[in-house]
Amino acid sequence: MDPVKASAPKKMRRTLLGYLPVESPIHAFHPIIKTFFLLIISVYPLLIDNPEWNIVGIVAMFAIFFLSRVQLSIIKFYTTIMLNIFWIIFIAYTFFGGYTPGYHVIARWGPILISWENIAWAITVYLKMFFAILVIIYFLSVSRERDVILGLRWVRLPYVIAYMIGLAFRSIGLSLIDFNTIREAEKARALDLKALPLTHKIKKFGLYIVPLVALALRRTEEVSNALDSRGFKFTGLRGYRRTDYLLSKYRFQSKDAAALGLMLAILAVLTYFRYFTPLLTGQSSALLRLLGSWMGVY
Amino acid sequence: MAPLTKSASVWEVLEGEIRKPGTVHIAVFALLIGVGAVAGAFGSIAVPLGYGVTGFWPGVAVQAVGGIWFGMWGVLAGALFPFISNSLAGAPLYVSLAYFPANFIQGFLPAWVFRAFKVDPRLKSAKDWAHFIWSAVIVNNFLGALWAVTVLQWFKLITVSSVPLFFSGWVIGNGVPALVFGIILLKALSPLVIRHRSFCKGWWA
Amino acid sequence: MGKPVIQVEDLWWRYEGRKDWALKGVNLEVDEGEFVGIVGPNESGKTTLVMSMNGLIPNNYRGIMKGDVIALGMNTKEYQTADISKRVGFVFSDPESQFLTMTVEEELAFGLENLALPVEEIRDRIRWAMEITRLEEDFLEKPPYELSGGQKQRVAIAAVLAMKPDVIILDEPTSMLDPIGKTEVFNVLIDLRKNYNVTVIVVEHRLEDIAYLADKMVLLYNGEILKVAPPQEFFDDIPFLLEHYVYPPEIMIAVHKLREQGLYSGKIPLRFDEGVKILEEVVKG
Repeated sequence: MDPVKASAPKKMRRTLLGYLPVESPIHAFHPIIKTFFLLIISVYPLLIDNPEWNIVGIVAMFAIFFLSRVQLSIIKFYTTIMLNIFWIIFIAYTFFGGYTPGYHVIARWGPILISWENIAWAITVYLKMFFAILVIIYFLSVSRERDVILGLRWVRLPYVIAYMIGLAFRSIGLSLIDFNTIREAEKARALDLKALPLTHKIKKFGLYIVPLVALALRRTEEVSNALDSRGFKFTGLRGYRRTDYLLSKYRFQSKDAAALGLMLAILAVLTYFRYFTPLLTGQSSALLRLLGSWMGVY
Repeated sequence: MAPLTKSASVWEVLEGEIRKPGTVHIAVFALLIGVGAVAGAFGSIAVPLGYGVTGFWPGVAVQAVGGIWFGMWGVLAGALFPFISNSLAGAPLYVSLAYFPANFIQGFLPAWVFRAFKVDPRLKSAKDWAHFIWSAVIVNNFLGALWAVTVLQWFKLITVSSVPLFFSGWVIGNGVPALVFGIILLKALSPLVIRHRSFCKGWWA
Repeated sequence: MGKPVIQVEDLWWRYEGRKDWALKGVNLEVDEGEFVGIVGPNESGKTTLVMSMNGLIPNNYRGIMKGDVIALGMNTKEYQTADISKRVGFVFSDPESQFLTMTVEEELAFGLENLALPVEEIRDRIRWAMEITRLEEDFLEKPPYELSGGQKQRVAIAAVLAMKPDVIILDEPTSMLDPIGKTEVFNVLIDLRKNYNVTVIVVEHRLEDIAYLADKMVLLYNGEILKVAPPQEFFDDIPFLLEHYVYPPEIMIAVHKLREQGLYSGKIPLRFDEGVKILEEVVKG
């Protein structure tokens, strides 16, 4: 291997959540495919209750993450959130899940009944959530603001709406810059939120929000001036004749149609299974049955 | 139109005053989404209760004051930014989308009350305070929470028995920051905002 | 020089809520193809004056305006900023705040899309503007805010240049840049001056760079124009400039001192190397 080539830094492209290598295969598709991915695949976990099928979905998502060369650090960042969600679902279902006659009670602490049915629901819901969250993390990891905007332009949304959403993404970046500026200023005055316990963090957040909004207000002036100075006219939703240079750079190709077709086909199959067969229900789950038998329910 | 007098309410359109939406409102809309997403993600990640419901959500203050100051631009921005902040905090797409009406009402109610009852955003009188508290702290968040738990039940993400936990989480998690940060923002920035050309006396300008 | 492209006629402007007028009866004419440098201390009204030239004032600010500004035949009171801006480009001092999109390519295309130009022309113009501003092809996919200060400001200039305005206004384009960034931006301005017949109006503190580039220098002080002259004449009265808090380059001051002491009787040099030559000659006697 050429040592120079081997040590050369990988070219990366910034995405909503981080960076993605330029050679990621996802870039080969039309940007609208990413939006369709989010919209269509997000429906899958809503149709599936059966934990095994959600596990299949989760594994498939990890495979897609791997194939798309998404950085592992992004998934790591969400590990804590995933764990939090697990505990919340677990507590909400097992301790506050309620009791219906016929439930198999496993443990009882005072008024709190822990039943197998509630645990089974917690597992079912958590895996649905896990799958759904992976879909959105994937979208944020591989998409750029530009992809979202192109998607909106592709569906012929009035330009002003597509543009406002694009500008909103830009504004998040500006607000983060302002947030960091304020944080540095507060640090210089010996206030570091990171070092404070949560309750203090919350209390001191007030010191951030006022300058953050004040800076945003100042920025409205700058952004509005910049818009006007570049010939942008606000004409409501009527729009005006405007070239779509960016969209003209992309062509919806047969591989895009194939990807979209595949996603829709899986959606159709899942919809059929959901409403005409018991395959996707929790009752048909071998995993839950196995767990239930371990707990002595079945 | 009201004549130009010192005592005219901040909401009254003065004689000869032309108000129409422009690029500054587009900028305000976008920047509110930016500020709201940053503030909202802070809460959603710091004190999560799950599904984007959080024990402390400063984003609600941006929703309330955004609607009060910038009319429908603020209300719409307030309804849209949680979609971004919730997504960043790991809420599934359709759950975030389903929260839209809750987030809309949380910004819309105070925006409507302040305009309908000529409440001064600088919170100068007891009437101003009272209207702010009922519309931007209590009722809007109560309605928002009601919608949110209904949605979560639709998606079968929570059980009937866990409704009180999520409902109270939403009401308290939103109510406290709406009260604290809402007041701070209105008192500190309203005098500035009402002179700014982005301030909306009506719904769009 | 050609016909006037910007005419400022007895312009008075007061921002809402302020007691003092920011501009007091300003009269100025900028001709086609001219390179004009506007200088003056802080709060003298420089930004207000240039913002009035593309209609940002009075359209985007609240205040009281008297007099007229005619930009390429358009009275700024009657035309929207967006319309005037298609022919009068504006580059702001903070490169960060003027970016409206997430990649350099979108940034360059934004104004051109607003002009409703055909796709091919947009592509050509982007390439052309990048060439003048020396931006590399690699930058197109990058977010503009991830570039260095000088690169950012060059993107901002390219975005305006691509629209091929008749007049380009730069409001302190180097004030937020490091020395390398400043040089990068000035190299672009030098190129514009030499090779393109575009009218340039620059508000700038770096007098050493602007002195030899400008056709005309304007001194604004406390909302009033005190002096409009070609650079040679403008810098001839150094005490007058210093009195009004405008600090000419050290080399000019040094030569002026020699002149005061009777050691030199020629013109004030506009370039550093000319000044060095004068000093050498005086030292050699």
